[in-house]
Amino acid sequence: MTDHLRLELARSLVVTGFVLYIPANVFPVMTMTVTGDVEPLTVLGGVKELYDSGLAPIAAVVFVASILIPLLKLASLAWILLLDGTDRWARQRTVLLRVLHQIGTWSMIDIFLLAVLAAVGQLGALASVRAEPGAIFFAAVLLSTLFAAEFYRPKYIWRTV
Amino acid sequence: MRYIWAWIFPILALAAAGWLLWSKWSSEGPEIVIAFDSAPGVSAGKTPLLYRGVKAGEVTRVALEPDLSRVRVTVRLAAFATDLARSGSQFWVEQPTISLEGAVGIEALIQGNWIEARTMGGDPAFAFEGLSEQPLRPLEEPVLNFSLVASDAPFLEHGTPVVHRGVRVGFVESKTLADENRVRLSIAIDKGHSEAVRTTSRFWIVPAADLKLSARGADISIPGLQALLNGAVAFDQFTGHGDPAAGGREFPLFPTHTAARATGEPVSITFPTAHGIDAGHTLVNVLGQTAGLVESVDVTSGRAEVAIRLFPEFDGLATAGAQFTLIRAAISLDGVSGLETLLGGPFIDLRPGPGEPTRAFVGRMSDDPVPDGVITITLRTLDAGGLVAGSPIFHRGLWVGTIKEQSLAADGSAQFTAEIDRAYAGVVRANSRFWRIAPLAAMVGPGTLDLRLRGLRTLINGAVAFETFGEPGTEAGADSVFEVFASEALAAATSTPLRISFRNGQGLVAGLSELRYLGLPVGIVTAVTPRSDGEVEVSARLRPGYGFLRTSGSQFAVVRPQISLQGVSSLETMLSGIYIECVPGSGGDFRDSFRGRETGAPEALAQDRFRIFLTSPMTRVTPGAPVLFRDFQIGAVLSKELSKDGATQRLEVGIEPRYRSFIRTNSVFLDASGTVAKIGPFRIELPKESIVDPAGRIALQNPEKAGEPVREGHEFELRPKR
Repeated sequence: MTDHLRLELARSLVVTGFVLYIPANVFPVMTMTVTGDVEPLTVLGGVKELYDSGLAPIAAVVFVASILIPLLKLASLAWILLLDGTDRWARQRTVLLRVLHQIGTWSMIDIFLLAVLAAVGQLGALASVRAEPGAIFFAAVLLSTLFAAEFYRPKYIWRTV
Repeated sequence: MRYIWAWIFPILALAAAGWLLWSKWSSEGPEIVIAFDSAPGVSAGKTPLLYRGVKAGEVTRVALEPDLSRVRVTVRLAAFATDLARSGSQFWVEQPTISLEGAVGIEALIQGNWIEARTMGGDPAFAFEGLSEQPLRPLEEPVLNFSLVASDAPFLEHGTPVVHRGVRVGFVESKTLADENRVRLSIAIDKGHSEAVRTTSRFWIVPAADLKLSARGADISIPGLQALLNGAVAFDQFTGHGDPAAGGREFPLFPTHTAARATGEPVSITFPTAHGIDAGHTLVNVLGQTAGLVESVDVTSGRAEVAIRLFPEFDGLATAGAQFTLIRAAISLDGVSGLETLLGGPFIDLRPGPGEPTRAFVGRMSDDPVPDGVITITLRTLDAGGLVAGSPIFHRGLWVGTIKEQSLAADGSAQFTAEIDRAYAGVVRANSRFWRIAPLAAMVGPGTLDLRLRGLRTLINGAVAFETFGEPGTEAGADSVFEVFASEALAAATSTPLRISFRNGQGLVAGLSELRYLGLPVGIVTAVTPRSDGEVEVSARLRPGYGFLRTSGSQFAVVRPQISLQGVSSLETMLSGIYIECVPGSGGDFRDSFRGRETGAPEALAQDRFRIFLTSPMTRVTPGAPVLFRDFQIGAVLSKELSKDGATQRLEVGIEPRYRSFIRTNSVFLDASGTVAKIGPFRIELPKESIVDPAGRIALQNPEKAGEPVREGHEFELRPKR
């Protein structure tokens, strides 16, 4: 795999991430049915639900982890890729890329939790959790950012220098 | 651009997102607005719209009308359910209901309420009126609707089943007021039973529980658990099969099955009183079987005009010869009649008869005993003695008539109109005698004590009996007038009166004191009149057949109770009253006037006594005193009188015939009465004899050499003792 291909794939995947980010947040990611109360939740709806339930800290955590961080990752990657081939803020880009690699380890935690919930939270008619198409888009966003960050190597930042 | 293929990913992502968006958009149908009076548990984004159990849409918006009168629920239909947006569609909020029929919509308990839909097609429409309650048959529309009109329809509600011969064929849909005094029920007959309702069908209300009391016991029938609360509407046809009824037809709703069955022509019966007749409940029975029902009672004319309807199969029984009798329970002293009416209520008994069909009858009351007509006679008496309208009239113990009306005659006597059953009219003769029956009759004679209570009814109401004594006369026609005597004895005594004079009339009562012969009543004292010469003249009548008691030698004596130390005699007179004992004479000629004897002891009157006379210048011996021979009574003093010249007292003594041989010409009669009492300064001596025989006693002594036997009527001298 040539460096050129990797760069091209990273670009493509960032764009893909942006594209997928929209349905991931528009479509509900899960449906919670608690005592007959059917509740399809989007990610943002889930945050709102948590906040309305008086769980503001958790709502903040979820908001940061599930909305802000993917968005920031996409934005960061886009920024890195846009400045590819220039020498501006090369140092900062390198640090950012490293950070992205680090947090990328945890990025699928939402999907993991949803999978566990959907598997465990099956209490018949009383309560159930079902993953919705939005979750797939959400996972796809994360995967896109993961692979984009993986394809883009730090050495490319310093390539032209 | 060697690596242009790398851009497949965003394209794929776009395609996926686009496909998802498109599928979501394409699965959505039109949006409709349903207006509900109330929409419990309906919330936007959650509440689904189900059609035949399938989610066909979702509530997207819930809002109130501007004037807060209704709830507007906006529903986004699924694409496949677009055809629900038709003008014939109905929507209602399904919520869990637990009724006796079962729990409906239990799922809604957990899942929350939902909106249910059904559609009958129609033009596309997007605004609907929601139903206020769940339809009874959510999936199918009733085929036939009928109206039932009743004056009252208690406990019939939305959902009450409509039953035909036990099969549930429909439901009551609604109950509304038709006009001021009628209720209109709208019923829906299910598909598949549309032929069940015929033009001849009659509808009635099946009560929640039916309690039937009959002679067989209590019969509680509960048509079903569901009917226990709501009852049911049943229908059937009783007059022919008819044609299938077209929808929308109006039927009357009858309160009971019996009322529904009574489809005959109305028949009007006039009763003197409507007491006990209950319109809609009182039955008409033929031979004990229900044959009809009283429809209405009209008393405005002063008499009870009872309109009945017979069951169609009995309709032909209303002919001119038919008789309608109101049967009521009567617990009277002579029995209980119409006992069945105690449980079932009074009823009208129809006795079929010949004749042309008629629609107007005159009814009878059950206490009219006479089915075949009566003859009316008039009874008069100075003393009604407790007779009232309703008192029975007996003939030889048979109840042959009844006293109907009472009034006062012009002369002040009580007057009764009596009806005699025509079947017995022949026994009322011109010379029949009527008397009041004494409720309590005591027959007391020597050796008999017969107390007879002639029915409790007689005791309360009194009663009249009649009998024809002697040769029956001509038949008494209607409107004959009879006198009512106070007693049977008075009535029976039809002969010419006897006149008997007594010195002492104490205890003799006109109309009560009897004349007896050998202990049997043969006549009655009709009058007791004191005469100026100090005697009492008793008028008496003998019953027919006892004329031999008025021959010239007949004797009459008043029998009174006697209690002495020797014993008690004539005790029966304590109960039966004093009577006059008759002894027929041997003379050939008949007399009307007699002189009564004063002796008390009836045995002294025995005709075959051997009579002798004792004379004494002065004796205490009085009638009744015994004549003793060796302290053994052989006779008694019958009477005591002054001799014609006044010089001596003359005692008539009757000796028992078997002892007559003791009386010889040289027999000696001693006055053994002794002293009444010796009163000394220190004591009062009361000889035994004076206590034992207060009337005195006469001792007979015969010398050793007996003389000749004497003839009857021989006169002896009564010597003082010692």
